[in-house]
Amino acid sequence: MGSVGDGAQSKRAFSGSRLQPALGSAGPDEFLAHLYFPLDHGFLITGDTGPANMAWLQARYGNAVRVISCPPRVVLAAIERKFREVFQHRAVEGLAESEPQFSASTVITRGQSVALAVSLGVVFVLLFAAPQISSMALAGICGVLFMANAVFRAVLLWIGAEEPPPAPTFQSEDASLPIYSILVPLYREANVMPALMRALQALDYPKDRLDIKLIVEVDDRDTAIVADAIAARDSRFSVIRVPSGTPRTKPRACNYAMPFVLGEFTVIFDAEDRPEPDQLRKAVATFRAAPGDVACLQARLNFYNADENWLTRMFALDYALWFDYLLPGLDRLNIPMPLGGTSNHFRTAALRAIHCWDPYNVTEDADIGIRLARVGLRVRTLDSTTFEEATNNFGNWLRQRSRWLKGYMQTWLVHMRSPLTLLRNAGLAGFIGFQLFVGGTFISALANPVLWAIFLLSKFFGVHLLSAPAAAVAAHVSIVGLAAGNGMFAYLAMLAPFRRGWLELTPYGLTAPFYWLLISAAGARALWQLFSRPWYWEKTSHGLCKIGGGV
Amino acid sequence: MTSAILSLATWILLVGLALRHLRAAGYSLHVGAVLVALFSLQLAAAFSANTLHALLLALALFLMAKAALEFAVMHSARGVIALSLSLAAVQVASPAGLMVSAVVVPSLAASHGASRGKNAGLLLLLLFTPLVSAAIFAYLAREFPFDPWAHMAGPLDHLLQPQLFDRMNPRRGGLINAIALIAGAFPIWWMALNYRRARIVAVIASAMVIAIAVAAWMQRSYPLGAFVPAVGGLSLLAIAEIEDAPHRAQRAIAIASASVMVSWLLLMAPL
Repeated sequence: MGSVGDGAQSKRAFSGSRLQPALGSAGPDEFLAHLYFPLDHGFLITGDTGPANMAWLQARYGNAVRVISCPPRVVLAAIERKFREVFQHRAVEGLAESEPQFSASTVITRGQSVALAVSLGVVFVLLFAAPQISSMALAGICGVLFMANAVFRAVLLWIGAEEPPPAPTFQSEDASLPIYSILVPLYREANVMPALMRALQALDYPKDRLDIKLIVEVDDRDTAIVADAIAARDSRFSVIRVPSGTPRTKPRACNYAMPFVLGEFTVIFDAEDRPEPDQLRKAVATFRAAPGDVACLQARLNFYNADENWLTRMFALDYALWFDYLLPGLDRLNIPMPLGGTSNHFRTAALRAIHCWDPYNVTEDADIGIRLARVGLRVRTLDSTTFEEATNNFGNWLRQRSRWLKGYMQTWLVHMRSPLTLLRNAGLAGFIGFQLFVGGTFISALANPVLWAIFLLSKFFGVHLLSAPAAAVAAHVSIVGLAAGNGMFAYLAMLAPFRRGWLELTPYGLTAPFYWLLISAAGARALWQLFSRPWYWEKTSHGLCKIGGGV
Repeated sequence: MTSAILSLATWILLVGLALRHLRAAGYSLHVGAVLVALFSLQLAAAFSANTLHALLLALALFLMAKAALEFAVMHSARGVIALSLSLAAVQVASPAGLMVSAVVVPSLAASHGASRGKNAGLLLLLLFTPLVSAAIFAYLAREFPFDPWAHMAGPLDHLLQPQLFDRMNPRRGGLINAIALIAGAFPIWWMALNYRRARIVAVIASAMVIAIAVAAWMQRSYPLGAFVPAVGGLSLLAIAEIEDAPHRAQRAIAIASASVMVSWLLLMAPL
């Protein structure tokens, strides 16, 4: 085997060559594992010239080839170009082929369809046979479910409010820090990319240990132009172009990028994210202090434009409750944790072992949190915040929220294909927690308008619900459920900003019942889309906020 | 009978909480036991009134003061929840509780020392649970006419009838009660002068005195024994704030003993 060439030589060799048409038995997995790619005329490029890899290449090829050292991203680009179709297929079908039971490519299984049909049939028969009692009983059930969700969240808040143990120190020597990969899936985000670049450049992490992948769709030229310009100026960035295909979702784009990730740890950030600068160091320290089964850390999310209008304030309360209290509560109770959309830090090996994200699930983040728990891996929360842009107009909010609720429905359906297996995997507490937290989220959204309708009918339109004793009890349960549930949601929303000291947002928590009506509207839309367009990813527009967007 | 069992349970709970608080404040088990025994003598004053009411009020105010003390040290969501739940509980425990809340809540919110917007937020947080619970009770009372308190008179009530304030006209009797409680709560005022944290307990004790005076002005009067257990609990919390210095235990026992004596002298006062 020949000597290692210098950078200039490698550039010439690579740019002037055609890819080796006959690669023997080697495939993309071998090339990626040893970070090399064979070229024409007996040349071979590698991004890893460490002794172990060089010895392996020597053993593999003997003296027949000349090895040229290249930056890893050049080698990866060559591999990606050659095996694009393979990677594309894996990105879409990897999970569905290897673990079909976890794939949302099937929306609802035959068994689930039968169960749903039988349940609906029974309900219709009962409604026909005893309309008043049955409808009120249904309303009572809605009230109980709505209240159960609120009570569970209150319990989680109480547990999550416990002061966390002191975070591990993270003043690691730069030399001891591992390579950290950052995935940034982008689609029509050219307008927010300068701010994104500033936010990522502000990260306190050694430059030579950052591997930032800007993932763009191949037909999104505007974003690609800006991404290329950034990558040309800063060697930490590289651009990955995702070929056209369906489903056109964020997880598909991330899956496509995953084979080219170099880091021991991988995190996802969205285009509008502003992570706290020390987040990566904190994550490394927390991973190193945690047991090996901790595969993922979820950082807290909140918004830099919370003060923009009522919707952004309510959204900020929503996120503060979710990330500051509810997820830490799930963490402490060891209940499977649905991840938030960004700032999920993974051990890369664990992420690959579970076949990354489900491209058919529109809340792939929630799903992957549950899947990690089901294979015995844990998700913990990370005491660091990423600030995002809250959607500041109703249309954008509705699209985003209905996608989330549709994704929660998908996730619930996927993991309830075999309830007994879920029970075995997650344990009783995990199973109940999953029902209340994942199922309860969309069921509450759907139950809320039913309860409001009963309340309004009985109070303002003179409909007498109380003529049968059983109906009277059910009507009271539903009305108490509505009042207590909404009251509790309002109180939780009011408490939500406490940890951050944003008490001036507290009065807005009183309007939570109206916010919940909006969530119900999104829930109805999500239910419709679940059957009409299950894998459709409704794009949330960013860069619309008028305040706080700078780094 | 139910009332007697509930009274006993409340008594045990109060004594247990008090001992736990004293132990957490650094008192030895022996000293804590002595202080709790003295506290029990003050709880016994409940026998001169509706026993369960008096003990529940003492429990609710004890929990409120404890939550307020903890909240002052650590501003946490749990602290806010505990405090607002205790405010809700105190108005259930006694009709005077609503007035106690009315004085205590703004004082606590104002003592937060933050901006007006943040103080308003805290005020809302503290008031929310008491107001919602009041609304729920009102709804239940209207839909299911049932007064649980009507069934709470029990065999332990008015076992002792040492004090005759309540034979006077309600306004005069109530005002004398308020003045008597100011005297009976002397450990609280004393501690408040010396220890900053004890001022929180003093605010709650003041609120109780004001509530009694207002009730008296509205021609509503209750036996003094209905409030002595509550004063005893608050005094114990104030005494727990004595700094950890030589003779701390002796000072605490002396003050608690004096408090018990004053309480019983007032109860026995031949007016």
